[in-house]
Amino acid sequence: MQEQVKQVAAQETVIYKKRRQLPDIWHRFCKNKRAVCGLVIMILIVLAGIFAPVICQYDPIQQNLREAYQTPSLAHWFGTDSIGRDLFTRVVYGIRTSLLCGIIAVTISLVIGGTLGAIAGYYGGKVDNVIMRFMDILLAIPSLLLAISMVAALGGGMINMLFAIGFSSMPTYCRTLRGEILKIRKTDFVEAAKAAGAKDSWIIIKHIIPNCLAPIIVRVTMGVASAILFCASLSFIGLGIAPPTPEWGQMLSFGRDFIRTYPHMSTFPGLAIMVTVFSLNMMGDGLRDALDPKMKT
Amino acid sequence: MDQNVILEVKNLSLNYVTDDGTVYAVNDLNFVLHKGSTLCLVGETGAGKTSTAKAIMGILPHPQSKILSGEVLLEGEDLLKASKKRMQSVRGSKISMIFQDPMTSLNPVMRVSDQVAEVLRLHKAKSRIEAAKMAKEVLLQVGIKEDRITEYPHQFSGGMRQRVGIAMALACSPEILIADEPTTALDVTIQAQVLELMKELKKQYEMAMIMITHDLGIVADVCDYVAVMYAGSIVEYGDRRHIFTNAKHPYTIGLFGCIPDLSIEQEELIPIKGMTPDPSKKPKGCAFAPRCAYATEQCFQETPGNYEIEPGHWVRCLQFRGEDTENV
Amino acid sequence: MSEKLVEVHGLKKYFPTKKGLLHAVDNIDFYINKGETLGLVGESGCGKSTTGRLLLRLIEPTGGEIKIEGQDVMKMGAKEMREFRKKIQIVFQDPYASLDSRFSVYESIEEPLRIHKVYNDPKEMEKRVFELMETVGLAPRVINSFPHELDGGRRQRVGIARALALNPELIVLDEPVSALDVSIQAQILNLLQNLQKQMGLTYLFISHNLSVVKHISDRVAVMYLGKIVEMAETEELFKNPLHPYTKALLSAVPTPRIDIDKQRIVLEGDVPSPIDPPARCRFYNRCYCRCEGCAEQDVQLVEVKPNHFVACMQAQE
Repeated sequence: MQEQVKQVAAQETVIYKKRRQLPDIWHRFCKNKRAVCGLVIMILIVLAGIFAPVICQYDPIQQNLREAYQTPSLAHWFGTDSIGRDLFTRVVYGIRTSLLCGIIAVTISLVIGGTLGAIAGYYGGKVDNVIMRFMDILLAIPSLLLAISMVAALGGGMINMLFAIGFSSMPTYCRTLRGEILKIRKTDFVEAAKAAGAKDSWIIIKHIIPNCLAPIIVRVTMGVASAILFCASLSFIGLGIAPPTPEWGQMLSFGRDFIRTYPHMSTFPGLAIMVTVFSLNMMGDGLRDALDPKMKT
Repeated sequence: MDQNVILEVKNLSLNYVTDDGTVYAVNDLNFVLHKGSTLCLVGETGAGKTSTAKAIMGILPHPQSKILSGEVLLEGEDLLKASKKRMQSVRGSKISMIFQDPMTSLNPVMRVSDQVAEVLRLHKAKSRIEAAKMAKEVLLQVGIKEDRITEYPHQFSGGMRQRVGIAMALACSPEILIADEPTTALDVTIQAQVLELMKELKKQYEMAMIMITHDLGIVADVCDYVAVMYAGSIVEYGDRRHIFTNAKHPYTIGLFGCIPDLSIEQEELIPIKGMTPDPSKKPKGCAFAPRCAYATEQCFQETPGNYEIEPGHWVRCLQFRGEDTENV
Repeated sequence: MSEKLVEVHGLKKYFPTKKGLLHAVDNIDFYINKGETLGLVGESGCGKSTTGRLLLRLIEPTGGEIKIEGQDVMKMGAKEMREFRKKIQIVFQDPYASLDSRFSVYESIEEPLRIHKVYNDPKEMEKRVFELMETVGLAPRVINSFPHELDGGRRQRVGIARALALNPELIVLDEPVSALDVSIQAQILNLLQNLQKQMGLTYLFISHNLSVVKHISDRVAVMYLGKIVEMAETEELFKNPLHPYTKALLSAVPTPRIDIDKQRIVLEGDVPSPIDPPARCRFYNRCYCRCEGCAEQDVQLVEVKPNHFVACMQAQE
């Protein structure tokens, strides 16, 4: 009897292991060199933001008129601005503001837009029609203009600006999620689960959510990039984050007056925006391919 | 060279280089096409049928595919060495092709009459009016009614679209027509219509035809010669009598055993065991050996040659070594 | 006479479209005996797949009655229906689309068992999954694979294992071999036949491929434009077709032989639109032996010989 059991155990060498998808995704992601490059730059940027006080020896806000208008040197890597603040310090501290703004704004639009999109996609019919027409109206207004008018109406400041950005970029999330849900609801595997007797809640948790997660993650990565741009644009025209808080768009605007004589004042914040947005977009591109299990490893 | 031969493919090998490795699509392929005859290329997915056709037409996807060796001789001229310009004039006027999916091979924003006229203007440099007149003639010939020739592809059913595809292919009276699974996307009764039409037109235009299909029923219906393909090689070649009454290669025999046949009673199908081979792995020895019931030790070691077991009937299987009339 | 497992009366499904009502399935009657295979053939758009989905109530019928084991499926509440779904399962055409690409083979096969909470002990569940994999001829080593790592034949085997998991009475097979290569197709057909023998399953086999249907079915129903035009035992139907459409369909199938010289009936034109069809024989405009009477009224499916039903006025005379 015992021997039999042993034999059976020996035969069934293959056992079921919960195979996680993360290693596969990581493997696919690593194959895309540009995406890895984007990820590495982003990690460096985030680390720099977190450890800003350690990296920088100057205060980002304190004026120091004696050191004003300095071009890049060993003491001031990126030079100083018209009131003597170290530009490197301000750019590094600016990471905190920009990333935070980007993430919060995207969270706002994802929560509102995503929920509306999910409702529209899942229930369909009249609800869908009402929500989507509302989104169409929002899309018909240029989003920057919409954000500007919202900030103008609500008044400036970080919180209002974030809501303005989040609200005006909501339609894209709404459409993405709705489209995904509509697509997944029609697939054979959802029908197969239904045929096996699954309840709606089972289908939503087991099939619909995991399958629309991937496009949402991609959307969010790219969304953070565009929210950073948005935030910089609003601050540039003076509607966003008020000085003296270091913010790239606002620094750009500040340096604009001296662009002929001291181009470094606007170059470095500009470069910071570009590098961040660029690497986020590259990462998003790589994620899109990596998260699709149908792509071969 | 035989006067009767219009197209000859010699030692053609090609592969696709992808991110996941090299796919050996066609390996050392040889066949001849006689004037006015129909050759059927039969095989399953990934056998290299379509790649062969694309190589002949010179429309292989550019950076990924690579022709490793071989010649495609059209009346003695090697098409693989022909210039881009020369190929453009060959395509459509000397060799033309019908595609599997009539929906995607037609331009959705052009009237069907204009699409056919376009081909004529490209190759015969006719005036607009003359081309339109000829296009109308061809369309009537393939059975499209006069009042419908100015419609758009989406207004047509699948069968009608395939008729337009045929009209475009025939517009310049080519000498060779390559049909890549022309009826796979169609229903049985519509398939019957299209096959009848193609047979009729072939006679009328005195064309040679290469028919690519996976359906042995269609082969029996239209072919003069048959080439059975497996993993990028022709494993058996012969005329219709050879293949349908005296098949020799284990794969061909296997194919006949595993298709249900309407005309006879059969108790159980005899499937070919295992799965279709992974074209990115080039096996040592015979590609079919892992699935073959007659495989010997040697089959896994040695690549079989092409053996002619009766005049015009070639088999690529080691079983028949020594039985061939002349060694090639 | 054998026991009827499925009885369908006056089943209808109309889809509203912008141009009018699309009669996908229009008043059809059929039955399936316990343990047999009913083949449902027809060309694309004739409503055969819709019929299969209606049987499972994956889409709600516009009207009609479906009785399975004598119970009226249409009258069941949502909860009752979920329980009842154990008895009827479906296998889809495209084994790629019918498996969630984020589920491994194990998770896919296990899903129906988990939905119905059949096993509480994970060990037992695992045993059952291995058992099912063995039944459908899947090697245990693929258990952790994802669908995209398998070939079409194996994927379809996973689909079949899923369908078997709850020990169903009836399996609706919706073109289960159409997406497969011929050599793989034969493997799956043989598997299906063996499973039927072993477990006494009842199949509704939906396909456009007449050769396959003839091979696997005990009885065959031919559909055209939402109607069943002929239904009979396989041998009878293929030897002695009565409806002109069935005759044309049979003659149009290419057979892989060169020694038989057959007369092919080539039908004129295309299948007409299923949107608001006129009340006459659906085949009227393509029929090669129509008479005046055919245009005047709809034709009913009538039993002309024992177990041979046909919907054609001339054949009925």
